[in-house]
Amino acid sequence: MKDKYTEDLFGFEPEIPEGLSKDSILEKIEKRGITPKKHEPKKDNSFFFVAALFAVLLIGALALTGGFNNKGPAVQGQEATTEIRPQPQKPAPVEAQELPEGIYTFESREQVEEYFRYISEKNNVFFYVTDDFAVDINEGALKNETAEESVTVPVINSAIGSVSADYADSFTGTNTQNSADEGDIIKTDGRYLYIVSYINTVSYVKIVDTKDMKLLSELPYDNADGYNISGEIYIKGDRLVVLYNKLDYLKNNTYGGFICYDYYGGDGETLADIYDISDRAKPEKLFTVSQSGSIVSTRMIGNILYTVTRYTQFPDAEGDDFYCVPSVNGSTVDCKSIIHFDEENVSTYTVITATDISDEKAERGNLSVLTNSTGLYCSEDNLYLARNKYDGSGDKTVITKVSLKGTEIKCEASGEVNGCYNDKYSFDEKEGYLRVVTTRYDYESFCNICSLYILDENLGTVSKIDDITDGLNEEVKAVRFMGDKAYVVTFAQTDPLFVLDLSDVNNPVVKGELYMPGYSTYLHPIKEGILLGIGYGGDEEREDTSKLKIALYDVSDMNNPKILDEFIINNGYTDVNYDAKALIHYPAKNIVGIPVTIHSYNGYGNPVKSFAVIDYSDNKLTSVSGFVHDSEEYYKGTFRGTCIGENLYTVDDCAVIEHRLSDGEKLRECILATEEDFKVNINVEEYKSEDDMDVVVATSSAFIPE
Amino acid sequence: MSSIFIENLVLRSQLGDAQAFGELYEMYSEDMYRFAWYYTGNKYLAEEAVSEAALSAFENILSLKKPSSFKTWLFKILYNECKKMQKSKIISASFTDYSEENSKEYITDDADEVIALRNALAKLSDEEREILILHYSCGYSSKEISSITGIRATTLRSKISRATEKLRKLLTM
Repeated sequence: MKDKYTEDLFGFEPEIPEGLSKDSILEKIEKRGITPKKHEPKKDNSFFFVAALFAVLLIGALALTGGFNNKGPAVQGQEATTEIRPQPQKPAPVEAQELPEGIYTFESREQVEEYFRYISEKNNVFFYVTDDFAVDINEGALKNETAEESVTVPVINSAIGSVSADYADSFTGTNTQNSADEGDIIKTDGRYLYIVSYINTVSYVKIVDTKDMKLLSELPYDNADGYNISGEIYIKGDRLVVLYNKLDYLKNNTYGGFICYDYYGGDGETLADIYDISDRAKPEKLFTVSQSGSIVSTRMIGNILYTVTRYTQFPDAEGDDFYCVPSVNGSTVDCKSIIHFDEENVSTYTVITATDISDEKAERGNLSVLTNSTGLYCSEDNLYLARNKYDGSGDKTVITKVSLKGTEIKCEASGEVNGCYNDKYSFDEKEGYLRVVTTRYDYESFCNICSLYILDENLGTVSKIDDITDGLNEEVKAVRFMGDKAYVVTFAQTDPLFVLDLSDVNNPVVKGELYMPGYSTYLHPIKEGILLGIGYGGDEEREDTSKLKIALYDVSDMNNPKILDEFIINNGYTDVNYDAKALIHYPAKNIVGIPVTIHSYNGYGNPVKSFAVIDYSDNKLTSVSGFVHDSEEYYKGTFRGTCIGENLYTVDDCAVIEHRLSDGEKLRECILATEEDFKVNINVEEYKSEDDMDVVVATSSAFIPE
Repeated sequence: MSSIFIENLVLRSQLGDAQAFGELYEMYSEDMYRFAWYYTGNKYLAEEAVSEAALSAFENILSLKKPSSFKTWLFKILYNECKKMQKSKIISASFTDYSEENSKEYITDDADEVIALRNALAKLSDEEREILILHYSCGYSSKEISSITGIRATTLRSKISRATEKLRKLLTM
């Protein structure tokens, strides 16, 4: 299908890799034993549980009646390994664990191994399960270990830090979904800025004093040692928490100045360093907590840090050891704290830990769930793990509910709804009910259907709106729940904003809708009845992604949402489109701010980074004068801003610039790094021949080698 | 390829004939890989997406009610597979790498023009990128793209021409 015109644009024909030839696909089909399957609601492995249950009952009955001699159990065991080997053991008694129906835990490590053998054989996935296991699981579990290099200093237990006169009364915090704090790459406490910044392969946390615009200290995390800050830090009084990932890669090559690693898979380990920053110039590391897996997300409620990671099984560097149980703080977790579901068939753990950052000695909690979560929503009391799956009959969102009481974490329920969730804003909990908005693709009619579900505390569906758009074939782009109401932006051609009334949990209804050109990707509540939408502009015909649109909606009348004002930035692009934390909202000054990169499509020159500060008082959107940061060089990284008192601070990897909020004048700056720092010296001698270079740059653990 | 022949192969695959499915797969494998390659911008991810989509298609082939719509159904699965990766942010991570020299090895072994095209594509919106790849690289008609992406066929034509114009501007910048 190639003509001159096409060749002009897509002149390149990628070469198909060996692994995608017809033969190798057929080989994979054969190897995994895939056959076309009929779509039935339940998966077959429940049969094994029933079979195992019967077997146990039978043994029990025979033992009671004395009909069993010593030989009996051995024969039973042999059968299990030769016939339908291996069957997962019957899950632990439900009553004993106080677990709801359908949720199981493991009694011993042997059971975990059995489970993985079973999964491994069923899916033809390769796992190592070694016979001896170095760490005594029950002894090691839940022990609070301190990292060797940590310095222990006296800890003030109750209040961490205090507010002095040097701190501004008002500043913009992280734009979180609800009262739970979320980690971000920039934090402020009213005087100091805490910034995650990168110079090539080294990531830093830098502390800048805005009083005299001075860089006070920096904490380096070098990728060469396998460390990489995952972009989440927290500030709580005099405590700084830095979350970072330690990869399992082995460094042995430098290639073109970049460090490369032999890849053997694995999600590595996620660690959190807790620092005492009462002296900002000399942060002192108090202790470190760690857990298996790569980071999914984190939250902080009060002084408790909740870290959620995803951990998949891989052999270690030598390929002969295998940890089928995740570790927390250097010890494998108690098998009784591993949750699995009978209908699930996954080999990936989601590991959740709770750490009190104010006290190293305080009790910590952990829970591992065998589910492959890709996202989470956290309310004040519960954490909901979510993943999208496609099971042949359609798209599904699988939700696991975990209750959080201080450091006590408990799995409460699991359930699923039709359709895929969009992001964390697709979920909301109110008075024990979880509300979810999803989009599902109907494979019969080739249509997108947007639905709302209201789930009870056991994640059973109470009520739903099956098709919010009423047959419009639209996709959910943004959701925001506010109390009894939900606002949903869907998109196919224009941007309808739907207002849903959820006050009656048994009968949610679509109240009003508003059609607008373009669409919003993020909705932000400004005040009672007023909503701000950030997204793309357009006209009736199509959306126009080169136009950044900020719109103000009046939603006080549910039946009749109105647009109050809109603000268009041509050729603009903002990070808020995919990360709501980039937005700042400063109610004290009636302003919102977003980082905007303006591309010059028709000119030459670099895109310009500026911070759009928009005043929304009197229900009108007006731009507060220019806050240009600097022209964009690719190496300067993510661009953000934050307000403290009367000033705005814009930040990237190279500099912090102070602007006066009232007139946009640039006041001072603090240089974090110069162009020189980004230059890489290429040492040709270190460059080995390409043949030994079976390497992958350590940026992603996305693919699994066969 | 006559449509009856394809339908025959689909029916045979539905009966569990892996060889027949292999034939079908071979017919579209190039298009699939090209789509995934442009979509993910990463040869490893593309390979994984195509192979996962192929296996999942065979496993779920009984859910295909109309054998004549096999092609769009297959691409819908591939499209979903790619989208899933995007949702888990893997792709956005790989996109940011393009500007850096080290990414060449990662994307392809090929020339600078390819990188330029990839960079230009990365500046488009997801939707623009998808429809351009489907239209130009895989040669799909508006109607076919409509059934894969769910965008209305009537608006697709103007979308395609607009996105093309934008891509050209970016490439000649």
